[in-house]
Amino acid sequence: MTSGNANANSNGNTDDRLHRLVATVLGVNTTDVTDESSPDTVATWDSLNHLNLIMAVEGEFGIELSPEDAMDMSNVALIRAVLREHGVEV
Amino acid sequence: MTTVTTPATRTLSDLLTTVTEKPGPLEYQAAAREIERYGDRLVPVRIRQLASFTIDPLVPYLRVEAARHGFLADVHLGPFNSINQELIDGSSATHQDAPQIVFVTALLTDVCAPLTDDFLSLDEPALEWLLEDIVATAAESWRQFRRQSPSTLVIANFPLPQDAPLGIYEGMAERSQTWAIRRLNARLADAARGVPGVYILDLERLSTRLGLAACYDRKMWHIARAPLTTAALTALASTQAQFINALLAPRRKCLVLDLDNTLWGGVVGEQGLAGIKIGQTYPGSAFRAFQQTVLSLHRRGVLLAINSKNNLEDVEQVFRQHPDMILKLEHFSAIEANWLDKIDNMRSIAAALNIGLDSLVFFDDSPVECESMRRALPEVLTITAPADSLTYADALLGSGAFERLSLTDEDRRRGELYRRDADRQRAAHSAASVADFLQTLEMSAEIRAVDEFALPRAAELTQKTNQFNLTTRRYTAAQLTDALAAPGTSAFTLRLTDRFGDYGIVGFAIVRWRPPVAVIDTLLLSCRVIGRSAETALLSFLIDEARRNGLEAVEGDFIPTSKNAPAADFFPRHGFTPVADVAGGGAAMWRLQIAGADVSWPACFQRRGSVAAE
Repeated sequence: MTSGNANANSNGNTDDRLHRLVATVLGVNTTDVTDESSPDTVATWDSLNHLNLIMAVEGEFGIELSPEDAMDMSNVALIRAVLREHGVEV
Repeated sequence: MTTVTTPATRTLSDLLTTVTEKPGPLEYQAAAREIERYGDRLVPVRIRQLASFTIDPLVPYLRVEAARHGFLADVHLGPFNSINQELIDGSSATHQDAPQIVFVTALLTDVCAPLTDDFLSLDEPALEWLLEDIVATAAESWRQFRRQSPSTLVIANFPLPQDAPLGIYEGMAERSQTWAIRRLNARLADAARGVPGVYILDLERLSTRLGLAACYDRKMWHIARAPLTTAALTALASTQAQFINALLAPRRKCLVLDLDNTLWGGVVGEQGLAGIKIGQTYPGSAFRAFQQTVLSLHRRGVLLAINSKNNLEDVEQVFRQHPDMILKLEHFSAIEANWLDKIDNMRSIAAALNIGLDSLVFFDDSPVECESMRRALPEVLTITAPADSLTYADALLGSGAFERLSLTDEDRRRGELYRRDADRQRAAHSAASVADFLQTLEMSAEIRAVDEFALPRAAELTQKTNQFNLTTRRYTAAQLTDALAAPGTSAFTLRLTDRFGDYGIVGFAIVRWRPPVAVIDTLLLSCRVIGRSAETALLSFLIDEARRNGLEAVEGDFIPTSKNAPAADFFPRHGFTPVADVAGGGAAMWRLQIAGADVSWPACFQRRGSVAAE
């Protein structure tokens, strides 16, 4: 529960932190990342970068994901849902 | 938050600092991408990683860690789990790629599953055969590789599995898995010494340092055969980068040290010899520990020098007279303690030692001095001491500046230390009796009136010592100072040395002179030296003092506690007779007539510089 600002209401800004993380890991612009982004829509979202995403999410939000969580995160909206289950509002 | 610099204006050192400040996966991944932009300032190095597992996540970590040493690591991977074929086959991708360094990291479960997964099924001959086979197969592949390639091979040895097959019995079991894996690692090291260009990366030690539970990520292992945590990846990359540096960069030969707030706490020019912080208690003990680290580098062959803004006489006085300095003047090859510019001093040191500036490492607590050194002499590796003196050693050793992969002439001294250690163990085994054993330790005891250097340690001993403590009277440093200021009270410290080292101040006594009687207020020994008859040395000294002062008897009380049984027979053992119960509670007053006293200085102790005794 390291998420500093849990202001889940204001849509535009709250997405930034997760979108920024995904963009950094995948090496794309933040503006290219949406909640619908997935391995099918981003060329660099390969299996290795999926591992990098898991580690980055764990490291960044101070949580430990289960194998099921890790495998379920197949688009940005699902990552957000997993984070929410761990009490992290982004 | 630190100052945000945009990627466009950020320097490489800024970039690396952001990772140091927050060493998370995201920071490594982002920085690894950005490092490319500083390629023109880095030395390219071609690396191949061969592993039995998914080692891909290591790449960004290695790129960042290599950049800290000035290298741009071009890292190529795999192919996955075909280590031996890649090494042996001269037409393999690994050979074609002509890397400068090949890092080989195999999991024991991939090399030999029974050893990790079903260890208890192995009988003695099977185990022996497996160990031999693993080493022989590995060594053969190294030889074949090196016959066909000039590349250096760095082979990771095997960490222990997280859980011991025999549980809590593992530690004492014969032929346990722990024993077998350590034996395997020892044999791998033996084999590696026999093949030029092959080195061992001690992953066992590295994983132990981090903690096995902190190294293995079970989830990532099961979903992706990527078993290493972020912490383990960081440590492995940092160690690989140290190998790259040790193999490819010119050697650093000399450690140049600042003094004030670096080798000791405080400023000797202002606070004086007695005011600086170096000693047995914190914060002085932290600086002592750092000095020990520096001395240990010196014993590995690193030259030492001083570059400090100070009066030379003040500095020499500290080294010559302060009893708690670990480093002595003779350890230093060059000393520049003056009021000149440190940059000029640095040039003088390089000239005096006839080595290049690029052989020097500068360690100073002042960010300003460090920054000006970096600007003026970028060839010198300048390390700024961290704010916390407890982590000085981490900063110095973590730089990897003095890492070497061979033995130097000076390293032979280490052999001497090992020999002495082995001697001690042999002495303990072979000594026929306790008295004989104590004789073999070649102990000497130095008893002296407590002075301003020893007072904090003495007070600490009264606070902490519970076992060999006749009265368990606690004194703060201030109370002790007051007590000693009163007439008729003396206090003495005992410092013990044996042929294995200096234990520092480990005994303490307070005596109140009440003619015709001397009363022992306090007499204690640190638990580290119980059983060496140091208490008899202290008592013998006190009796001599009392005799010299024309007193008739020595008295003392024993106040039993739940912990001080080891001291319970102190008085009767030395011929004291009970005088009276003190206030019930079992505490008793004991008395010894000096005329008839038979307490002599123990034969196993050499007597050293007992100031007040002579």
